Amino acid sequence: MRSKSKGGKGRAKKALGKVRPKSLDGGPADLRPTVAIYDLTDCEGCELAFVPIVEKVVRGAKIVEWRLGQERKIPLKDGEKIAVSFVEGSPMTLEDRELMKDLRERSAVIVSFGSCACVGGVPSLADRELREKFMALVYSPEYKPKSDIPAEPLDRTIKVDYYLHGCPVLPETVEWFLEQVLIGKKPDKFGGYPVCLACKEKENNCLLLEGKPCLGPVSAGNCGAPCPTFGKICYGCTGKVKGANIPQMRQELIKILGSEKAADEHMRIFLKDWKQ
Amino acid sequence: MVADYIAKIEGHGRIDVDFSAGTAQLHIEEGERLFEGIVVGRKYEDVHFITPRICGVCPTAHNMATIRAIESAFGVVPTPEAIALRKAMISAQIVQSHTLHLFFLALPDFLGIDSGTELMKKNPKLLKKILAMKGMCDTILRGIGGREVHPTTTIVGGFTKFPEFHSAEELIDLARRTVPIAEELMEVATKAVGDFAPFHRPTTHLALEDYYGNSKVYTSEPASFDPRDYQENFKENVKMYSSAKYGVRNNKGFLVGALSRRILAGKRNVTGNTFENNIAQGEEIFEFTQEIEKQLALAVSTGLKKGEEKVSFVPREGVGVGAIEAPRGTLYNTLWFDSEGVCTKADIVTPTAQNLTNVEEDANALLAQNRGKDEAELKRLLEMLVRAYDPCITCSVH
Repeated sequence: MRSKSKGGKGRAKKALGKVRPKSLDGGPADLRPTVAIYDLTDCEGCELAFVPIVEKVVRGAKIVEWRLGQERKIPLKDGEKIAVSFVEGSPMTLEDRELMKDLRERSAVIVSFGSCACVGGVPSLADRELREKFMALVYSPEYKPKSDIPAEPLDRTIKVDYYLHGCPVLPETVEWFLEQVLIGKKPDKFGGYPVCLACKEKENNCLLLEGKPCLGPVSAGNCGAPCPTFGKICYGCTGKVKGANIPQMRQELIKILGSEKAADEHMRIFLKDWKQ
Repeated sequence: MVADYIAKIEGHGRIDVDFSAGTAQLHIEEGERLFEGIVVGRKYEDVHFITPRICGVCPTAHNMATIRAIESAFGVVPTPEAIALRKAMISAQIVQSHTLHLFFLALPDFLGIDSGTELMKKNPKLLKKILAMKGMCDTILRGIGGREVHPTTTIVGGFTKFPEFHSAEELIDLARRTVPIAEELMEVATKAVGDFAPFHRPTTHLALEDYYGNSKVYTSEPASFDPRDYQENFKENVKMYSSAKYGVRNNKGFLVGALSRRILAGKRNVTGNTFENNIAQGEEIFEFTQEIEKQLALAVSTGLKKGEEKVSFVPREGVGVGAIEAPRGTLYNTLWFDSEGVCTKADIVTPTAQNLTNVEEDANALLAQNRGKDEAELKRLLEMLVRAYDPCITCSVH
């Protein structure tokens, strides 16, 4: 039993050795997989999740493109694809969409990184009709907008392989995801358990029982419930949990908030497709 | 091919130079998110949940300015310990943002590297200190605010919850232990920028005397004004080539941010060299780390008793202004509410938008004072100039 487990460890170490050389020097020995980080229109808060883990990231992967972090793009060999490209934000301009189509061709894996890329996020609260109204309010009548469409999920422009929800995505999530994908595993989609489970683990009082609007029961709990833990209502930024009963959730919110409109306003920030 | 945005600034912008005429324009290319429209029709508690999403680098500042505006509209005054905790959060936000900007975006220009991550090989000790500094701010913001990015505990009237007494004492200890690192980072920034001054151009400086907003806005002219009257004291102009608006006072650019705060507090002299903003940011890292410790100690001295977290209030019809010093300068929110506490109108004026006219005026002065240098070198200097401002384009287009 003991020797078996030892052998297993050895194999794992060997496998890791292939993608994680000890030396940080580049050159021919650099077998680190490549990572690109892109931000489109958004707040850039999710990208900050890379900062606390930057040493680990750089040890395990080579960041080849990152406009916010470096000017230089590290060229790849002919035909080589970027192993993982993280895309934060929504492609609201034609230029952004061209950039994404190009990135799709050059990347093996594309990750929708954060709520804006996954579902459109907070900026998508302004739909096409509202945008015209707001644009006149904020700018002048002669102003020609840079964006030609409302904030939309990235997968309306290009095919996406993975979705990391969150407003913001947490560093722990990025670390876990990168580890999985870089050792060749397929990271399971989040959403296996609801925020409620994380809440119970932290021995929080149930906000719904206190008569406060909380989307915990229908939202993925990988965030660790930072909002309810501090008594703040949940807006469901982590995306839908498997088997979420959205219509029932809506009924509960109508009871608590007093109107269908108020319930829908609460739900539509991050739950984009609940009217199914 | 995709056009070249300026790298290492938050958001998407490019500098357009006409070398024969010796003029430059800063084009802001970020998509319009229209936050001032999005918050209309929403309850007040949704508004301070939504506005931090304007910027993930300074979300606490947006959250606080919005809460202050709502409290001003409803006539709410939180307890002194809640205010002390908020001040500790704003201070941590300033230190965190400055640390990220200086060492990952601006100083690589001066240290001869392309990316802050290169420090891992070239100066791992410095990188450790930078990450310790950022880590301290993360812990403070998570400890009080519930999360590093986009706070959760902060509400109108105070907090949903105070940190546990013993963990608040640990936070004080952490801030105290980080003060020497802050001092070292200040010295690194001061030394890196040195006397780098490719041009000089005096301008007008604006800053709140009290970063929490309970004071006038002072200017480097004799004038000062009540932050509630900001709309009469400067304007935001719409430019056809930019999705951000450009601040002007008396038809000219003006400067807000670390350098202006230090100058107006009498801690730096006016030299007309914008690159000194990066030194001022280093100095603020040191100053505000001590401020975190001070405000936390003040909060803890009250005992952080249960029941003192928030004061009760009733929403009422009215308008309120919230102004605070965000990392990049004064951030203003004006919010209008109906009797149910639903937002009916909003005006959000970010520091970077206020600075944009000044950026262009500086760029033109830089070109005029560096005639004869080749185009590539001028382009490099202009990009360094833009980075020295620590512009948050994400904020400026909201």
